[in-house]
Amino acid sequence: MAAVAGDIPNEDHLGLRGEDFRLLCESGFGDGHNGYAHSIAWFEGRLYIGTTRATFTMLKLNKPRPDWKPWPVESPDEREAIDRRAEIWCYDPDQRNWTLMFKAPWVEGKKGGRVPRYVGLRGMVVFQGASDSKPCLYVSTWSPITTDPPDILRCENGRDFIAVPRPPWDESVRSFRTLQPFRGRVHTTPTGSNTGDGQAQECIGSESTIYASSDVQNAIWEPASADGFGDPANTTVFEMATFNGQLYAGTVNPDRGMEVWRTVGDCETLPYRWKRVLSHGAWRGKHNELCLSMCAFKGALYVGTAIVNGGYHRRFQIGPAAAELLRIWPDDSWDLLVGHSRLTPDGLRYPLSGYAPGFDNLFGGYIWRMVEHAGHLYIGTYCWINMLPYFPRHAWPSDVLTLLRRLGVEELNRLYGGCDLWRTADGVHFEPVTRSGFGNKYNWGIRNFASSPHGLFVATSNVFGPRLAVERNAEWRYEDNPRGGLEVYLGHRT
Amino acid sequence: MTAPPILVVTGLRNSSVGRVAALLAHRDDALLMPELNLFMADTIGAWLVMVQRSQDSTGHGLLRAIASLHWGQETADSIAQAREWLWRRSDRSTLEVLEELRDRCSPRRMVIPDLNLGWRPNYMHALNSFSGFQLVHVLRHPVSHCRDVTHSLNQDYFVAPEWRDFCNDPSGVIDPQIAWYRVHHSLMEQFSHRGRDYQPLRLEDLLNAIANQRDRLWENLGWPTLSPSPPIRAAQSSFLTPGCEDAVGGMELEVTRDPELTQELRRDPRLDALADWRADGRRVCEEVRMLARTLGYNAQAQV
Repeated sequence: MAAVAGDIPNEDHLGLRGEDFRLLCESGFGDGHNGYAHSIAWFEGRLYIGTTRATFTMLKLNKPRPDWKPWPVESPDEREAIDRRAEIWCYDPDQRNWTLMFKAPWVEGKKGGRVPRYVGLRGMVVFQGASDSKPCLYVSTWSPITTDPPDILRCENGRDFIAVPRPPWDESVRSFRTLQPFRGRVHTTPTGSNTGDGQAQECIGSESTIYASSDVQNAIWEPASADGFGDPANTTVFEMATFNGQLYAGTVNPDRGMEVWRTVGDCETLPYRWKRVLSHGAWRGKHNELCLSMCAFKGALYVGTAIVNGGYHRRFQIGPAAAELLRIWPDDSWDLLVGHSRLTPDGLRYPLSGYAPGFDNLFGGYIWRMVEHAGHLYIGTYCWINMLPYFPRHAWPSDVLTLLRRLGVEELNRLYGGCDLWRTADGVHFEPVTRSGFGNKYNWGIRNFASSPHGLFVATSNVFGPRLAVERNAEWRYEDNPRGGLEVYLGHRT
Repeated sequence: MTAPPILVVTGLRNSSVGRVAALLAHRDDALLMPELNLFMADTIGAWLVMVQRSQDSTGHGLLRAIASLHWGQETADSIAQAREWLWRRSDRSTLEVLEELRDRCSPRRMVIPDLNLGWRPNYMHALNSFSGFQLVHVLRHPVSHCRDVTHSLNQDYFVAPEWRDFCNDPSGVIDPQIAWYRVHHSLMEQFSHRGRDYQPLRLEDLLNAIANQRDRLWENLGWPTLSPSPPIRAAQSSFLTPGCEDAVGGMELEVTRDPELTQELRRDPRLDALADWRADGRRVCEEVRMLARTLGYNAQAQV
C-alpha cells in the first residue's frame, strides 16, 4: 500500500515529469545490500522506509536455485556471512537528511549461531488501534526460517520500534506484507513461507486467510475470510485495498489465474461476507497469476498483475510474461487498460490505453506499485531485462527470442534497462515519467511511493549492489557497482 | 494564404485504405502521401529513435515524402538528405513538422493513408490536436474483413498480439474481430463529433458505385466540385510503387501491387455468422455485431 498524505504542492496537478525528480538517496543508504525499499510511510511529517537486504544471497541458497550463470551479485555460500538485518530509515524533509531509526537485532538461531531477527520489512501503515493513544506506525516483517516467525513492529514516537505479536499463523509463515486499514481494523495475510530445506517462497504464503484486528498492540486477531476464499487454488491473498466503502483482496492462483474479491454489506462483524469480482486472471489465465497492486483512483480500483518471481514462476514454470493493468468499477464491471486483447465471458476486452502488457515491454514483469498524487495516478513497473546476461535462454517464447536475436543482450539492456514510471489522469492516456529507472538501469523496479506535502517520493528496488558480475574480455568478474542499492527520489513541480 | 486541411484516410489493414486515399487524391488540388506515422511520437527526436528501433519500415513513408517534396525524387541521396532534414528538427514536435509539410504542399491538400491511427488513444489525441484536418474512416463488413485478414496473417512470419485472442490462452489464437472492434469503436468515439470533417465510409458502398460515392465524399468534405468529374482512377504517384532501396515502404504491399479499386457486386455475409477464421465454432461476438449494425451493416445477409 502506498503512503498518502494531504496538502499536495500546487503545481503537481500538472503532472510530474522526469526532470521534476531529484535523487535523495543512492546506493541503499550507502550500503549496496539494501536492495529493496520494501515499505514506506509518511508519518508525523517525515518519510520512513523499511528495507529488505541481500535478496540475491537468499535466492542463491534457495531450492530450486535459479539457473543463473554467473550469479549476478557477489554472494557468499554462507547465508549469515552477510549482515542481512533489515533497517528502517527516516528522511526529514526540513533538515534534508536521513537517519537510521531501526536495525533488526541479532538473535540466537534455532540451530545455534546468531541470525537476524528480521531480514525484510515488507509493509508499513499508520493506524490507531483501540488501545493506541494516537496514530502509530506499524511495520510488517520477514523472518528467516532459523528464528521465530515474523511479528509486527509498532512505533509511537517515530524512534522506538517495539515488536507486538503476529496473527495466529503457523511456523511456516515467514513474511507478510500488506497492512490494510478498513473500518477501524487492520488486515493482513501471509505472503511468504518456508517449510525448511531451502523451500522459501517469498510470494506464496502457507495459508491464505485474511486476519483482522482493531487492537494490533494487544494482538487481538480474528479471521476475516475463509482460507483462500474457500478455494485451495488461491494459495495466497497477496494484496488488499479499500474502494467504494469495501475491502478488496487479490489472490495468487497458479492454477487458473488471480482472483479479486470484495466484501459485501456493512462489515460490522467478522468474518466478512465476500463476493468474487474477477477470476481466471481476468480471463488471461495463468499469465495473470498474481494480483500484485491495487489503488483507488477517480472512481475505479486500478489493479496491477504479475507472475510471481518477477514474471517467471520457476517452481510452476509459468511465464515469462509481462504484466497487465486493469480497473474495476463500483458495479464490478472491469476494463483492460494495458494488456492483451481477449474475448472473455464478461465480453470483449482490448487495452484502452493501446499498450500491450508491461507497457509494450516484454520484460515488464510487474505492475508493482501505484499511488494517486495531485490528480494523477502514478504507476511503477518492474523490468528484468538487465538479468538477461545471466539467464539460460532455452525454451523461451519465440517473441522474446526474436527480439534477443535481432538486438542482442547488450543493446536490449542499453535501450530498455531500468524500470518504468508512468502517469495518467484518466486511465486511458499515459505519459512516461521515466522508462530507464531514472537513468539507472539497475533500478529494476519502482517499489514504493509516498504522496506528501513535499511532493511524490519514489523508492526503488535495486539489487545489483554492492558488487556485480561484469563481463570483461570474455571473462566474468565481480566489480564494485556504485549505482547498486535502492534509490529514493522526490518529485515536485516548481 | 491558409493551407487547406489535410485529409487522413484511416482504417485497418486489408481494407484498401491506400487505394481509397489514392482515389480521393486523384484531382489537381490534392496530393497523395505515403503513410507518415507522425502521430506515434511527440517529437521528431523521439520519432527517429522509434523508427531506428523498429523492425518494420514504419519510417519509410515520411522519408519518402520529404525526399519527394524537397528534392523532387526518391534516391539514396535524397532519402539520406530527408533523414538529415529530420535530425535537424529533432527538438520540434511531430505536429509542427506535419504543419511544415502541409504548408509545403499548399495550395494542394495532402491526402495521407494511415493504418495506425485507431490503435492508440495517444495517436488520435495527436491528430485531434492538429489544426485543420479531415478524416475518412474506411470500414469493411466484419465477417468478410476478418476472413481476409486471417488469410493474410496466416502467411505472415510474425502475427502481432493485436490480432490475437488471449482468453485463457498464453499464445493467443488469431482472431481479427477484436482488432476490428477496437479500431473502429475508438475512431468513432474520438472523431464522430467533428461533423463533416469526419466521414465514415463503408468500402462495400464505395465498390458498389465508385464514381458516385467518391463524388459524394468530396462533396461531404466540402471540396470544390470538379466538372467534368475525373475518371475513376488512382492518383499518379510514385508512392504507389515501392520506393528506392533505402526506403521501400510507406504503403501497404497489396496497394503497391494493385493501386486501383475495382467495382464489385455487394455480398455481405450474415452478421451472426460463424467466426470461421477460428477453429472452435464460435459465432461473431455480440459487441462486433452491435457495432456493425450501428455502422449500417445489416443483420441479414445481402447478396
